Amino acid sequence: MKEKLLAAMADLDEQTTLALVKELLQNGYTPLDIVEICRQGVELVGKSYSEGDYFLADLVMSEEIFKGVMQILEPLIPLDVQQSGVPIVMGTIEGDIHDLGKNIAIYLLRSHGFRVLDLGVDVSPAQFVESVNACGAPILGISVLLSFCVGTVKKVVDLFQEVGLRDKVKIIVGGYPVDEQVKEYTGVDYYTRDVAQALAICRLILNDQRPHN
Amino acid sequence: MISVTFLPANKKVLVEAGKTILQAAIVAGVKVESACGGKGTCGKCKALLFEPSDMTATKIETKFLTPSELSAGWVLACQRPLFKDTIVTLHEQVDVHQRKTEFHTLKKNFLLAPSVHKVFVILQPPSITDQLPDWERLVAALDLPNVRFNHAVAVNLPKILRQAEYRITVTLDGEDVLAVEAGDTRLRCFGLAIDIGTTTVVAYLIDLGSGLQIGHAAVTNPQNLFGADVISRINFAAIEPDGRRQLQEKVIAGLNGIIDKLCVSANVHSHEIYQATVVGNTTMSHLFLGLDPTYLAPAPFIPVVRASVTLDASTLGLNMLSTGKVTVLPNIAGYVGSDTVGVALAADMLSRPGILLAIDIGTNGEMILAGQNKLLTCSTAAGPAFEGAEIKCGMRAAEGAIEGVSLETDVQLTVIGNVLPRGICGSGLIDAVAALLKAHVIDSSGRLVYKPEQLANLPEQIRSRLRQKEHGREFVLAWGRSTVSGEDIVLTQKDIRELQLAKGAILAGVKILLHEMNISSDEIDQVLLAGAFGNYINKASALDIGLLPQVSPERIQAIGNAAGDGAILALLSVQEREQALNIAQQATHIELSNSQNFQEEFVNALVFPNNK
Repeated sequence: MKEKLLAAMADLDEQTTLALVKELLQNGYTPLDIVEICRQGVELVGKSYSEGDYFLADLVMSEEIFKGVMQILEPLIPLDVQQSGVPIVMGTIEGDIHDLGKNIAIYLLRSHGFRVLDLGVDVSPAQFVESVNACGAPILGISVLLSFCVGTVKKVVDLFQEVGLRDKVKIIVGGYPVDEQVKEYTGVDYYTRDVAQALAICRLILNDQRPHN
Repeated sequence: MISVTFLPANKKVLVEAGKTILQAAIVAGVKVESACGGKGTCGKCKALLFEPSDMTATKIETKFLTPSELSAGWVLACQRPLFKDTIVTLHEQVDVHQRKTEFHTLKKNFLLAPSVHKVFVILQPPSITDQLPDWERLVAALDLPNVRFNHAVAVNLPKILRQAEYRITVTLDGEDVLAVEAGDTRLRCFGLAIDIGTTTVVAYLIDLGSGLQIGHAAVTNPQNLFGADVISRINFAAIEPDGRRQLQEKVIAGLNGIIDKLCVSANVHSHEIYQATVVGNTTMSHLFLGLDPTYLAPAPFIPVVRASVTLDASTLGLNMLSTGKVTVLPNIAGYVGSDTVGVALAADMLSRPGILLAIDIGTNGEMILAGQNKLLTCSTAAGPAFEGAEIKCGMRAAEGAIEGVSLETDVQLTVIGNVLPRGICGSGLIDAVAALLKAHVIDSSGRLVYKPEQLANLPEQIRSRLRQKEHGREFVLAWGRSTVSGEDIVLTQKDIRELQLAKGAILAGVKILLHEMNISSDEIDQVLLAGAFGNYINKASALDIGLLPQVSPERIQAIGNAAGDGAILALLSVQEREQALNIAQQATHIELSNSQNFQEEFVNALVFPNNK
């Protein structure tokens, strides 16, 4: 039954997924076990997206299904577990108000247990710095669609440098116009045009940090 | 200094050592396809070195050039600094301007009443008993209440009056005296209508007396050197200390060049051009007027001015009568410019009955929905896919571009100029995807088919064109043995995704406007496609891929360069110019980028309509 749920999630079959979630609950699986299976399904969706087989609409669909799953499961998950994830601060850069890509990335990260603080759109460099400082997030995700606003991403990095927090946080810039040059120009640590890759980068950052902690 | 020779143009220039091939090409005036303006992100500026270079390929070059191209000496012009005398072969870009200008008939009936007109007067010569000064003598003869003193006209007035023996022609724009000429010149009264596109600038020379078009000419917008899209231009204006002035100079120089050409071929003197009307997207209007465009780029996308602006030609340095007036029509918003106002004017959208939807498909898709006494506009960032950028083998609609694709047992291509293909342009891309959808090579989610049972149903020759590469699946449109470069021309999975993003943005914009007017797509009486792209796009293909709302094909009509037509109408009739102001005033602009509905519509519009 676990395999069926995994496959249903990966195939974006909403009805079967929700039915199987309820069935597994009745059969004694814990809510966290089920979240883990669905999470793996989401990961498969992300992988298909990276390979070009699934597209934006498919990701949005998988988000809908996962939301439905969480509606069933969330009331059953203890609060302390819900709040235990690694914090990540995310937002769309100042001057830009697009958030479709950012929202999908947040969904993927949340479904993988990260605790994402979403600052919304049109976020100023100061707001990014303040909130990373306040919650001690080791990762900051900046979303940008308007290529004109790439310069402001550099301002965020510079501001972190200025207040002496640059070493405390890894900065990922994501969005349609980013590439190696944007990464070099802005001084961020990583760039990605792909939400599934964003997830992989976050995991990589945490793995790299573990031995030092 | 080192010398750089460009073939096949055989142009030689001297530049400082260390300049790139692209920079040298700009100096030489050789056109290079460079969509990104030298940032190294488009990979279009391929050049072949005559002697192999000892410099190793840059990271960017290895990204865009195949190993066989690299070993043959191909480089990217923007990536190569030169330190010794060099000979370079470029695929010089052959522009196909006639795509923007060749269709031309004004469809709209209008009242010929230009604001500029000429009056022939014979003045009574002064005498010792009639010492009225020259200017006042002139004004008295005009019989207009509020004629203002025009210094530039007055400086030469005494000589002209006396040489002409007081038989003169006065050119008036309303109550402004623009010129005083000797003799009767009433039959020589010309105006210019100008359409400044991000890619192409077009000027129409018009006889204001008859309303007839005497000629038109086009040139690639010389601002191109600073990037192909408006954002690169705004960036340049915002960052470079002298950038704004350089951009203004470039476009005016480009215009002056074509005005010269028009004057020579029509035997008109530039001082016989008394008026110009100008349309363009809001960024182009700003750059033409020398206004700071910086805050058009980031949200909330604020222009300096929305109203129509009129300046003396001398202020701009435009090649016409220096006291003549240049009027830029009003815009509607940061991304809905006077060109869109021109489209609405030419299509008579304010007064025509029924529900009309006009779309100008380009990097930014501007659209207007008119009906129920409302005029709604919006603009969606379709991205550069329709211009062939961000597409692996994409190119502009120039010679060698695949513009039509059909699939039977194998692929049939139509290529611009009937030559070997070099790449695929926007209309070709739409055609290709429509054909592949119909043949079940792409499913409705946009995925190139991969399941064995799907593949088994495809004709052998089609199936052999589908292949898996490192970066995903792709479909071969033209085998290397019959292309210019010798490389296969392919359509990749990613290309299809880019097209989906572009068409999704356009369709979602349309859906939002329809929703705002509270009507469904089958209530649209006519879909008008403005711009060159609209003329070349295959209507059936556009419907098949869901670029346009699902209406019956006979309701779709290409209206040519309607923006330019709008500029001509505003030149030829004060009523029409008034109407342009009304359009801009009455239009309600819907800002899509922060609308939640838009994101939903956008995601829904990404898929292809189900294949019947």
